[in-house]
Amino acid sequence: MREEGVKETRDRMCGRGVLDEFREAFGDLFEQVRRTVPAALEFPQSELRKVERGYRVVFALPGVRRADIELVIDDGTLVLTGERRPAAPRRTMGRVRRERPSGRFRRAVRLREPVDRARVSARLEDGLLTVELPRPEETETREISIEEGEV
Amino acid sequence: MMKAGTERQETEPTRPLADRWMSADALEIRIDLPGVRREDVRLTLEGRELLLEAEPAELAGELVGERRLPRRYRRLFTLPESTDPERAHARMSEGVLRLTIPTAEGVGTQTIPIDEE
Repeated sequence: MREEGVKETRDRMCGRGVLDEFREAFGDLFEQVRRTVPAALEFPQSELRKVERGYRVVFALPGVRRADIELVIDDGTLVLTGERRPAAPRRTMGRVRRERPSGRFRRAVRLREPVDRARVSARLEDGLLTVELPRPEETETREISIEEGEV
Repeated sequence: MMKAGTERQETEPTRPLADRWMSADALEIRIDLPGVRREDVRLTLEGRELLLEAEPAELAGELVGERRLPRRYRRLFTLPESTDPERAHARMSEGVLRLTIPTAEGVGTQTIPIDEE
């Protein structure tokens, strides 16, 4: 009961959504990251760009392997889920000074513009995941000539 | 509707996130540099001060909404006395810079490794 009250207050203060998912995914690390680097509240960071063929979303995923990423389009929302493994080995001499977030992550991007789902593609290069969201091709309007038929 | 972002050059470079630990024979540093290729990294060593500067390749297309991916990185690392910066080596892959700075000869005769929780 008491726990719930505290959580509710915290939710009201921080707002629900991606932030909560992040907190659930990263647990204590979230607090740690917030204290040290406010810009890293969201992992991964992303950017939306308009390109000739449509839109492009770029996610910063340094050190994340292709096999550890899943990308789906669900009901007009692009959902990226995955896991970043910690870089340090289990055995080290002394403690690890950690700043980089690790663990499971989830990001959802609402697609406001129509997207040609069949042609959506993604590539992972130099720690950047680039998702191409092409707009549907213009449906060609073709005039059909009606020949005068002989009766 | 989201407004178009500005493409101006950042004045202040971003401090990249790094993990650090000691292995049996070296100081290991991993630095997040998404979008940065090997040729975009500059490492300058001056005594025990290691300066890292990096600039990822420009992204194509017109920015929509906020710019969230840094365009410039800069961070200064002070390497401990127990290491030999002259023998340091670096490797760049998957947007992560991996620095290995070997322990100086004859330093830290014996340490018992402790498992991280």
